[in-house]
Amino acid sequence: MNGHRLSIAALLGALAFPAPAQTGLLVPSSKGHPDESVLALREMKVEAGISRGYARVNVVQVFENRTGEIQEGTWRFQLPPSGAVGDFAVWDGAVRIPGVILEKKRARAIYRDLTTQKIDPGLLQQGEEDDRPAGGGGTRPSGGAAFSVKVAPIPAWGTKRLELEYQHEVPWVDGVGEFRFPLKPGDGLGMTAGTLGVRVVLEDGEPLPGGPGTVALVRSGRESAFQGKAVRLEQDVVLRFRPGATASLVFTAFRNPQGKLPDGLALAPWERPTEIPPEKDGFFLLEYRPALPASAPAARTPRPPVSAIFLFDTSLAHRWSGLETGWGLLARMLDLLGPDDSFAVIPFDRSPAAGAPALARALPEARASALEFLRSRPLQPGASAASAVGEAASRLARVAPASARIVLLTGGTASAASLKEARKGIPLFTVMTGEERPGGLAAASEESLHPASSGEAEETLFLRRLFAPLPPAGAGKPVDESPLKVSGAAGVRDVYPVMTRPPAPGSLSGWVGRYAKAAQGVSLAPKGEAVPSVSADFPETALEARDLPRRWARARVDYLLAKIELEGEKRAWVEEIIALSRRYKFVTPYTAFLAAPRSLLRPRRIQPGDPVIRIEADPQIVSATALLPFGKAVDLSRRPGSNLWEGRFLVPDGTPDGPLPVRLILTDVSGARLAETKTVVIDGTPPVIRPDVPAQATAGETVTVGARTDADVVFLSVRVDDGPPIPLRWDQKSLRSTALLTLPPGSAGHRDLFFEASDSAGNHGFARAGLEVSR
Amino acid sequence: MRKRRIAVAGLAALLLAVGASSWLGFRRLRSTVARATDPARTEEGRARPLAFSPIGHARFPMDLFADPSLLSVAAAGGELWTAGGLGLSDGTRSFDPAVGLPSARVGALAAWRKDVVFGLEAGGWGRVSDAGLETATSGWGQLEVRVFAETEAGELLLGARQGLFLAPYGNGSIERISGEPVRAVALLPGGLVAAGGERGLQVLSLSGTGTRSVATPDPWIESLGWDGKSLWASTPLGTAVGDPLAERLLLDPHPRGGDVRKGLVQGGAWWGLADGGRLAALLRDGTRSEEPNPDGFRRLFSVGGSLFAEAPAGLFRRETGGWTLVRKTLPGALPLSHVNALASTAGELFLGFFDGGVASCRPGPIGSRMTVRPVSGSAAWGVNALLPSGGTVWAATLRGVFKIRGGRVEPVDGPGGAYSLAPTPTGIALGYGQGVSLPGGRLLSAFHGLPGNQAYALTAARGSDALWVGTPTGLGRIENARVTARALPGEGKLPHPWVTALVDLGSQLVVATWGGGVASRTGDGPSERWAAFPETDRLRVNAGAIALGPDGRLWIGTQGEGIWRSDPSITRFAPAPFPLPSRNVYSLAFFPADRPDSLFAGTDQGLVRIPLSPDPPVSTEAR
Repeated sequence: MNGHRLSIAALLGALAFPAPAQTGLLVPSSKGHPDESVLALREMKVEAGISRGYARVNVVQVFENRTGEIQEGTWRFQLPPSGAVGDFAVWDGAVRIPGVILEKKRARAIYRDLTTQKIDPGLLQQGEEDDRPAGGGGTRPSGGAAFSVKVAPIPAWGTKRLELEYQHEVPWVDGVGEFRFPLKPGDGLGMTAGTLGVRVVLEDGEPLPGGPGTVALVRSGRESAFQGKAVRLEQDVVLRFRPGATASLVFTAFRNPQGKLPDGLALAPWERPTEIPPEKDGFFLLEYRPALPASAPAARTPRPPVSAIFLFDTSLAHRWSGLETGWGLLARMLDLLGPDDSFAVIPFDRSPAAGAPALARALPEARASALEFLRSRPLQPGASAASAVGEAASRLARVAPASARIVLLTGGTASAASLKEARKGIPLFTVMTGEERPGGLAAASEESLHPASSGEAEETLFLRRLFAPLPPAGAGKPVDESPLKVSGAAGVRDVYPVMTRPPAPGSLSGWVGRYAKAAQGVSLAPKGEAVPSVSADFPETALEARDLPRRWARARVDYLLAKIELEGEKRAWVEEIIALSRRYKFVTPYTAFLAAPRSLLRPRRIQPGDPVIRIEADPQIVSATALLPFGKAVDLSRRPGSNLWEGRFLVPDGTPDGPLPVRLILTDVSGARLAETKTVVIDGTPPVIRPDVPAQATAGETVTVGARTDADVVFLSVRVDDGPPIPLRWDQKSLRSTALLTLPPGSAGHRDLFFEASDSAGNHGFARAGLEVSR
Repeated sequence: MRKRRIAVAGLAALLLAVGASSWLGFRRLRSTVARATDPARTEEGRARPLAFSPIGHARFPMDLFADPSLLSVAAAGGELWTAGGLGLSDGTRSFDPAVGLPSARVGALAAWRKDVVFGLEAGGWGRVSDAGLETATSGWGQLEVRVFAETEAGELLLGARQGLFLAPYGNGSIERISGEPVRAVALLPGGLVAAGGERGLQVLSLSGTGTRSVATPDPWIESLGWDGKSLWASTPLGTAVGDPLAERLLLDPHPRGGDVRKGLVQGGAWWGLADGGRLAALLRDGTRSEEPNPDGFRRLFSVGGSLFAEAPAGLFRRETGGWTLVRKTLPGALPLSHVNALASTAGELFLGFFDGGVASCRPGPIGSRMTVRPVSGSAAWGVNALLPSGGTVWAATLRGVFKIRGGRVEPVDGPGGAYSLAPTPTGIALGYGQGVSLPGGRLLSAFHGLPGNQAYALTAARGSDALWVGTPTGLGRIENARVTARALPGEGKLPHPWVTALVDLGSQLVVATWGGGVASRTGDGPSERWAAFPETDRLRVNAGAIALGPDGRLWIGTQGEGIWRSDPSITRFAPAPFPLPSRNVYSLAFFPADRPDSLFAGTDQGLVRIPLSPDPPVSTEAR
């Protein structure tokens, strides 16, 4: 007992530096932890738009190197559970280097290539280094994860600008939506932003007064804003709001048959034109808000009893504020148990605690006793969540399957496969209290909660689902049949559920789909829901709801991921996921976001006479231009049937030998443009050869001849008179290149040895040496 | 006596000391004066002399063919002036190399008071004044001017690769304000100017003080414009806009200008051509509008409050009712400027482009238009040599050798990039970077005894089945699929190891080199003799740029020195006194092949057709 208490006290006391925050933290590699004396947050700007249960957020951060040395750092960003990155860019001085979405295998291959060449690729990817299982990560298969990117170099006394744009669904509980932008660090003290600007535009809904402990937003019409200097980041930005419409079903559509956005249409900072690729089809969203019952909140309404085993991680990995969070959540969950429920709390580290109480009725004294037992458990190294889940499953083997629950609270990680095997089909609810959100835990769970990146609304939803009756078998699995009853000739297809599933009173659910043509008075009604149908006009053109194409694409990807989870990978599905990911700009388990060079330059040394610049580029590149430092822009030509781009130019007279930076401007199929700087070496100087040959030899004798030449020589040969060239090889012992030369038997007299060297740029150097050959 | 000697010695020592200190003082004074008067080290030294010299002459009778794109437009003296690949024109008069313009491509143009100033892409600038065509010379050397602007005070601002310069009108001096390369300028209020080039955007005062850098999405600034409130900048990564004088020192990317890489201010908006050729107008509030692009516009210009657009058909002006063609494209269009290879038949001329494919045309009489048609698509790219043979045109390109017949392009198997071609009695020999492919497919390289692998020049020996091979490392001869002779560096035979062009005249082999001029080889075996043409020493003859004229003269195309030709008996060479679109001549061909009446010369700034003898008179007298 003392050990545990002392451990917590010691751990809390050790919080001398700020631990990773959820929202953009640049950790200097030289320190390993955030340090404002090294890298400080000079400027931060957050702009968000909220509409139709969906938030789009644009974040700009400028970090400042406060040292006289070049720094490198790792930028970390924790997304909300349903979040998906749409755009990312690092500025290298005055150059914006945008991230691009690539197939994960391709991204990995590029990353490996570049690291092999010791080129810092500025890799950014979503999730862990290992492949995430489909369906893992957040509340949506395609969403939620930690982002990290290596940022280098950060010049001495200089700044580094980073930009991120992402979207996520806004949780609704009891008729209140909650947008949260977490600024508060998970542990310790928050960073200080030199300037902080926040602007949240609520496009539909009525804002509610701000709560305590949140950033004080100033409201003006639809906008809520904050502006401050030297702001300590210790409070989250939270905007709670009620729906603007009272109807249960609300229909919205987007259709842009012209393909491109029309004249005069202004885009918000969180919008990118590339998010809205040309589509002849329209997209629609049917929002569904089941009415709240008139009685008390849902958590207190009568429900069937549950038998729950709570597995609490008491390993040393479960520490800092995660331990506190887990403890608080456990107490809250136990408090929600009623006398008809049964429960047990099992601490675990490498193995479940011996002597943990058995399943017991959830009476107050039993709850207190369980907590006391937990507090008596000392922290130990190592944790095996799978063995703890297995223990819980065996204890629940004899209870009614519909009432059995396993609740895992851990700051560690585990593989999805081991957990799925251990739980033996019993529903698993996981609370991930660490800074990261392990994909394996989420993938193996019915529901998962990551308090560090979630708000109160998500927590409430998690608890409600924990104690609610289990959905019928097959619920949540992908259904090919349309979930909507549609009457009319709009050509509605590919309709998928979004937001809160299943619909619950006070929450916001919906369905998103495509339609082929405009139609008036189409009747729409969700199947299986006791709600009257709504009559909708599917418009020919509607441009306001520009979030819908991407929302539909994400829903389609989630559907395909669920199919893959159920039936295994099929090539067509994977290809469609990758194509949708690239077309609509969001990351999936099959794609990665990479801020890395997309072209390899070859060769690196060229002669000044008539150089050809060749690059091998990503297959998605559709145009490439090389900008040369002397002001020439060379449009590169793609060699048919290859990924090779080449351009030809003349180096101006008088250009000295040496490195020549070449900036490549590449455009990919989506229209995204990126710049990369490569270096070629202008080398017009022939190699110098210093022969080293014996003065005399005998005809027919084999002699060793040697030569020393420049370091960039790739081929060095020697021949006697008009004889064939014989290559010289490097001899480490004599520190020169040597060859064995057999003199022809009839070669007596003075013989000339001709040496020739070629360097990697194609320059040739020559030397001659005389050899007296005797009979 | 002793005292006297001591006194004399003391006096001598004193005189020596005075002399030494005087000498040291004088040296110091001289170095101080030199330092104080060194123009490069003083504030006054930023200004150096500027003078204009007449260069115009009577029109030389030649045909010029080039990429006719317009690169710049200006209004001066009530006329609309245009400049581009064919010099400059006010609609009635044309100023091109035929009348003395040093080179064909004019990239910058502006009105300066009552004159018109122009900047040549190849370097150098000048003006058209009452005195006619004039070239500028200054203490700053030859400037590569990319943009001009006239300040409110009537001074001329020159944005050049060598920096930003200011020339007061009639002052006879030009001052350097910045040494950073400039591609675009915008005049700002308060005597400030924004200048951007390859290395970023700067805001500086015309007095040269208070320079500050402003960040943009990309440091390569292609266009700049001031709309009265904001500075616009287009870069290869899109357009940015902002206040250049704000504390932030940053222009923000326009949210919808990511695909606008070049533009100008017109009517409060930033106009540019976006991806797909769409005509886009960006506004400061983040909006964007687009207009149809009726004729494939390629460039936009703003002149006298009107918006102009350049298209293949010519120059259009935007008017209330739409776009009006105000200046038709001059005849004589080439798809690309750099003609790297030429070959002719009795009725057809084939052109190979340095950074493109193969095209053909059927030239009419001298002085007539000709229509150039691409024939090879993108397969044959980077053309180095052309050879018509039996209804087929062979093309040696960086992508290999191709046979073109009846519009069809057929690749020939080979080891990569090819540089030369030669007819032999048994077929066509192909010169690759990896050796020579003989008719029948056998490849000979340095391994087989050639002096090098890269076969930059080939020619069949007259009267035998031998083939001469020029490489960067010497000359070789192939007979019966074996290397039978070589001329190597260090042997004192070749004036330079890099052999770029060959002609076998039977009695002698003429060998042209890159950097060593021309030499000839006569005899064989023990009677082999080599003789250089000393007047060509240091000439850089471009690969394959050699042609034998109908009168026996040998013509060569050089890098930077124009065309040289020999006398009919080939005893000496001299520069040919013809105006050219550029001094860099890469290809030569007489046309028609059977009865030549003219010489076509391909340069990096277009193609010129020069009538053969008698040489037309060239007057260098200024008009």
